[in-house]
Amino acid sequence: MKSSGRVIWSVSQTVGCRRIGIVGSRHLSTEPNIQKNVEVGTLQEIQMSVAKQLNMKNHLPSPMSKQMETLGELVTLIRDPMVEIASCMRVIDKKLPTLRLVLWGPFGTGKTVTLNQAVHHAYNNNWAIVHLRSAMELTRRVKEIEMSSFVSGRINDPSNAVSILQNFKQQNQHIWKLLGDLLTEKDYEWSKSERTMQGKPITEIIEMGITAPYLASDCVGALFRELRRHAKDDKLKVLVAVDDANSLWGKTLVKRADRTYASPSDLTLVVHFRRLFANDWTNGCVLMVADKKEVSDARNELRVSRYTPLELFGEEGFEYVEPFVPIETTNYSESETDKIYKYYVNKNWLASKAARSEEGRKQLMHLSAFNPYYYERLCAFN
Amino acid sequence: MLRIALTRSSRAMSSTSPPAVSESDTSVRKIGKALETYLKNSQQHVAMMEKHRADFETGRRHLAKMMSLDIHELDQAAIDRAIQYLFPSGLTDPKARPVMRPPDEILPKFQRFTFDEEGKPEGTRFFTLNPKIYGLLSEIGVKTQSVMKFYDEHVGSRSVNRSDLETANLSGSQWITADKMKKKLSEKFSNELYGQVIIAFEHLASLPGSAIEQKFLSEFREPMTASTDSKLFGLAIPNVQTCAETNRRYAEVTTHCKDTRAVVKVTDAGKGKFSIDGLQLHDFRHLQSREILLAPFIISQTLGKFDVTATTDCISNSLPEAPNREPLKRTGGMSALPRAVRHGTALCIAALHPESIEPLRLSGLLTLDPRKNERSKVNQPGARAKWIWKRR
Repeated sequence: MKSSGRVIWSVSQTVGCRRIGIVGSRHLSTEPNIQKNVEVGTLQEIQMSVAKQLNMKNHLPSPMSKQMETLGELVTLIRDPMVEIASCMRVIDKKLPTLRLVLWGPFGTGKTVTLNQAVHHAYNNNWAIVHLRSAMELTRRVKEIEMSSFVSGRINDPSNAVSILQNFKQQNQHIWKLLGDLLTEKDYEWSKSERTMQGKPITEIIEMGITAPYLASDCVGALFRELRRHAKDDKLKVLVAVDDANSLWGKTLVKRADRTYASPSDLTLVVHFRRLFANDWTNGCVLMVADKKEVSDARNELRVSRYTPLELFGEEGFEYVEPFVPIETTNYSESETDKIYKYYVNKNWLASKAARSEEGRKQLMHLSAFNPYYYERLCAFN
Repeated sequence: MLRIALTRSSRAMSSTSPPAVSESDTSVRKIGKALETYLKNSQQHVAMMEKHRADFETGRRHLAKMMSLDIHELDQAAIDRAIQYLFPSGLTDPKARPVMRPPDEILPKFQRFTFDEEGKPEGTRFFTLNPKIYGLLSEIGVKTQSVMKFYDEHVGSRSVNRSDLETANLSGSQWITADKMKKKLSEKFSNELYGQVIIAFEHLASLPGSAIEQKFLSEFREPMTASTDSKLFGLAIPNVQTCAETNRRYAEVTTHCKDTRAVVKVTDAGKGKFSIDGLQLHDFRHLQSREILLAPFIISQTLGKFDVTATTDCISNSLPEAPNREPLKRTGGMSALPRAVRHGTALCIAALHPESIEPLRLSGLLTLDPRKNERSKVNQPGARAKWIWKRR
C-alpha cells in the first residue's frame, strides 16, 4: 500500500506542476463541469444552490461562510493542495484500496476550505459524500449519552448521530435515487419492534435513524458498512471528508458512570468513523484534516503548537492511518494574494481609497503575513 | 620617597635656608604654605586609601561568606552580581545604584605634582596649582601679541596673503565646554578661570589677522550642532556591515523593551522574511503584534525589502536568584517582544536606508522606551497598592 501511495504522490506532483504552466490571467469558472479538471490559480465559483445542498454554511469556517452570505456568492481559489486531491481522486477505482489523504499545515492556510472544495469536486463527479464538520464534535461536544445495547460498554450519542444522518441525506440528494437502488445485505434488528429486512434500500436505514434517535448511532454504523460494501462492488464511489480527524484519537469530555472520562474508542460514532478510515475497502477516498485545535490551548495566545501529522494524530492514530499521502497547505504566494485582492476590489469589498492603492495592497499582503485567514480578516474590516 | 623628594625640592626653592638643616622637621616648616598644604593632603590621601583598601578587602571576605563562595571565586563580576542581588535597586540611573568596587577605581583621584629627577617641580607654573590652565592663558596672551604685531606689520602690504589679515573663521562652531576643557588639559580648575580663558579666546578671535592662528583656535572649538546620533534617546544608529559569504549588507543592534531584550539583525536585499526566535511573521496571531513588527517598514516604505532575524530573552531570567528558588522562566509578551524587535529593526533600517532616518525619527521609532515594571515594595501587595486598612 505504501508504495502505491508513493506512486500517486508523484503523479499528483507532476500533474500539479503541469497545471501551473497553463494558468494565465484570472478567469472565473462558473460552470461545474464533470470532465473538466480543476486548474490551479483559478477562482472557482460554487453555485449558491449547490452550496446550500452541501451545507457549506455550516461546514466552511465561520468568517468564510459570513463572507458567502455578504457577497451572495461563494468563490474560492483553487490552490495546489486541491489539485493534488483531485488528481488522487481521479486514480481511484475498484481495485485500489481506499486512498488516505491527510491535509496538514499551519493555522489559517486553508485546510477546511480545501476539504470543502474536495467535497464539491466529489459532488461534481457524482460521488457519495460522508462529510463531518469536525471530529471534535463527536468527542467534546456530546450533549446526551446513552449506553449502547448492541455492544456493552459503548456509549451512543443520539443527537450527533441524527445530525450525521441528516447531513448525509442533505449532501447526497444528487445521488439519492442511486442510493435508493442499493439494497441491504442482511437483516438489521434495531430493537424488538424495529428492524430492516434484507433487500431493502439503504435509504431506509437513514430514515429509520432520523425518526428514531435512540437507534441513530447503530444506523450510522450500518449505513457506513453498506456504503463500504457497495463501493467494493463498484456501485458508487465514496468520499469520506473529516475535518479535525486527529481528534478521533484525542481526548473526550464524555464521562462514564464512575465519573472518569471515556476514551474515544468507547464512543460508537468514533468507532464507526475509524472503521471508515481503515483501508480494507476499495473505491473510496478518505480525506482527513490534521488540525492543531485538538492539542493547543485556545486561551494561550502566545504558544505556537506544532502542526505536523505525527504530533497531532499521536502514535496510536498515526499507526492507524499510516500509509497516507500527506498534503501540506501553505501560506499564499504573492501572485495568489493578488488574485484574491483583485477579486475583492472587483466585488467592491475593498471599498476605501487607501485599500485600493498600491501601498494598501502591499500593506494588506504583509500585515496578513501572507496567511489566507488573516488576509480575509484584514480585508473584512479595512 | 615622596617625602624625600619634597624636602629636596623645598631646599632647592628656599635659597635662604642654611644647608646644615636638611632632613629635619624644621625644613618642612620653612617651605611655602601651598606646598605644606599639598604635603598634608597627600599624606592624608595615602592613609585614607590604605584604610579603604583594607576595608574593601574585609568587605570582600564578608561578602564571599554571605554568598557561600570561596574568596578566590569572588572576582569583580561575582561582586557585582552579589550586590545586585542583596540590594535590588529600581533606580534608572546606573550611577545611583549601590556599588562595591576597589577604592582606587571609584574614589576621587588625588592630583599630584610631577617632579623631575633632581626633585624640582616640573614646569615653571607649579606654584599656581593650576599650571596647565595658566599655561594656556599665557599662550593665548603670547599669540594675541604676535597676531597684533603681525597685523601692524603687514597691513596694507602685498607680501602676505590677503585672507591672513582677516579674523579667524569660527562659524558653525562653539567653544568647548568646561568639562571637555578639563578633560583635554587633564586638570581641574574653577569656573572663573574657565570664564577668563573664554574671554581671552574671544579677544584673540576678534582681532584682525587672527586667521593665522586658525588651527590653534579650532583645537578648542566643537561643531555647533551635534549629529543625528546624539539626538536620539537610547541607542545610536549602528554601523553597516557586510556579510563575507553572501556579500549582503546588514546591521545588528541589541535593544530592549520592558523586560525583553532583543538582538536584531536586519539584512539588505531580502524578501521581507521574519525569523524571531525561529518564529515567522504568521506565527504572531495578533494583528497588533504584526502591526508593531511591520511599523518601521511601513513608515520607511520598504515593505518586503529587508530580512529580519532576531533572538529575544527576558532580562529578569538572567538576574541572580536565591539558591532555594527556581530560576525564572519568562518569555516576552504579545506587545513588548514585538516592540523590542521594532526598536532594533528601526535602528537597523536607519543604518541601511539613510533616507528614512527622518521619518523614522519623527514617528518616534528610533527612541528607546526606557519604562520598566515598577518593583513591588516590602509590606505592600504591589508597587503602589496598599493592604486594606481595617479597624481592629
